[in-house]
Amino acid sequence: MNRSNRSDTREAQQWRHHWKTRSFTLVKEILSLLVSCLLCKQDISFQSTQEKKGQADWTSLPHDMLHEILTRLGRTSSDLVRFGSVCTSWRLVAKQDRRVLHGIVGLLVRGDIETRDQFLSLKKILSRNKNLMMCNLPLVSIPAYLGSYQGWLLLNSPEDDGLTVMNPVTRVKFLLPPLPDPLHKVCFSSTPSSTSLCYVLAICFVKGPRTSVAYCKIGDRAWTDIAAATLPPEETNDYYDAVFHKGKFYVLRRNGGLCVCDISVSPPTMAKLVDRLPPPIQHLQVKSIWYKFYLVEAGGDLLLVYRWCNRGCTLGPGDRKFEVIRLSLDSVWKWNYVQDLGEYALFVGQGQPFALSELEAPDQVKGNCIYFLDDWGTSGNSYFQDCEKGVFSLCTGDFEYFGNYSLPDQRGVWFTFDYPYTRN
Amino acid sequence: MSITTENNEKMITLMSSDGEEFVVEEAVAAQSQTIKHLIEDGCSTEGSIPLPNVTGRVLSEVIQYCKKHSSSDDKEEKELEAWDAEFVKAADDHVALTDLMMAANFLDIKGLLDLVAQTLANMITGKSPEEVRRMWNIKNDFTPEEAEKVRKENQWAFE
Repeated sequence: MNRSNRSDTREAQQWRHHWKTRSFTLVKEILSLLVSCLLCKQDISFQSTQEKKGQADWTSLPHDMLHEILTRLGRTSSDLVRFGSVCTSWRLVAKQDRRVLHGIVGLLVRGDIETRDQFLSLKKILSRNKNLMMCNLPLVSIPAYLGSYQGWLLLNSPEDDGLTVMNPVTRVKFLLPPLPDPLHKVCFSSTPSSTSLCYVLAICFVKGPRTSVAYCKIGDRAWTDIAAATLPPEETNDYYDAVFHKGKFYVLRRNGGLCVCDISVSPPTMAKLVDRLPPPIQHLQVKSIWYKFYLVEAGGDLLLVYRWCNRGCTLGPGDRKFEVIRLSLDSVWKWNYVQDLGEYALFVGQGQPFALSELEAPDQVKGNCIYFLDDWGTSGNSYFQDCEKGVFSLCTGDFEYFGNYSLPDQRGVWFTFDYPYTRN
Repeated sequence: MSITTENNEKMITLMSSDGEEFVVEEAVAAQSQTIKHLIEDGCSTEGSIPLPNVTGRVLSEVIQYCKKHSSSDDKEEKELEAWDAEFVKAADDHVALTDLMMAANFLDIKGLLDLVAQTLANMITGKSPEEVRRMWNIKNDFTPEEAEKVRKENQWAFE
């Protein structure tokens, strides 16, 4: 907290000012007395409350003082939530804490007609408790998740052919126009809101290798195919993943090319940036491999993540692999291989990949790790069952699979919950 | 009144909100950034400095802290830590600690603010909201609607 913003410091300044400007004359003592009296009549709510009432008056404790306590709490989200549950003034202070913003991260698993969708926090998955209790989501039987982004889900609208963006906790919904082609991947520019602009970029399968890249903003009645509108036909194939970074969408092609899509200009443009992305250092050395890549932003950096897996579905050493490359697009195109993500952990799988700082989700997320889910193939059920959910440590190169935790077979998406009080 | 001791150390007089006067060495008082700035501005050489927000009881504790910390150097870090622990223990309860924290904030003594805020934070770590309310006598002032929201959040966090 910026100390200059403190009310008490301001008060101290006022007090100093009075004191400094006081006259050094014969009437000094009289004035001094007067100033003291005047000041004493000012807000002295924090004068010893014990002597007044015999107990502390916490409701009148200035918020910056509460903040001083809050920032020194143990770095667990539970303590932060508890702090915000004590009384209204404590809650106000907790609301402003950066660490509470991301609330809980975990796995959201689709239920069937009989069972409701379930949320399983990462903390629980990693607590190695085999008798896991799931939180039931406060919604019943929703269509398949098409994507997720910071506490929001993209779903097919049951009412019409359109799409719905929904926050399952607050139940706030926004409708998006129907897409003409099957959706492959979706990317949001920011959290959906009715008051600020939020763009959604969709990559769709059209025919064969042809994909379309379309955008709309929340409130629009139709999607605009930006690839077809601004690129030559041979450049419209094979789009694969996208990320919003520094005000622009970056779109990755399966052949390794990268395009930039600028929606801030009118009309929006899409242009090829590079033909070839940096190659991985080392491919997975097995006969039949699958590989894929993701774009993700972490701490202001644009990262490319390579992922391989042995189709034989064994879990021996070297059957799975991740590599991270930091892309620099500023003035000169350059990249470097990343060995250390610092405080950041990456979450990849179906839906929009994202990064979380271990500072924002304390006691849940470990930095310099990649948390991964099964998104191989297109079926709703997990191709590899349990063995393709886990966490990879960039530091040690070790994999830990969630396979032993009796997770549901259905494919899930990574999901972060905002506490309702952080963003109403 | 400007007093100088035998070893030429300048003394400063601080006056608490309830009129109690404390004569301390300038180096001790200068542990407080607020007072230090005042001294630097040359406004405190005469007369006593009134501290309208700090009672005599709290001020004497603050001075005790400042004395210890102005006379210790970095080599004695461990000993100082132990002293700090005893100091907050002696402050007895959260009410005294809160008063101390307010004074530390007003007088801008970072070390003391850190110490007291951390002590208070440790007191509530791991406690349920109900326990914290009972322990510190805090009124649960949520409306029924808010209380329901709070209950749901806790459910998400702990179920």
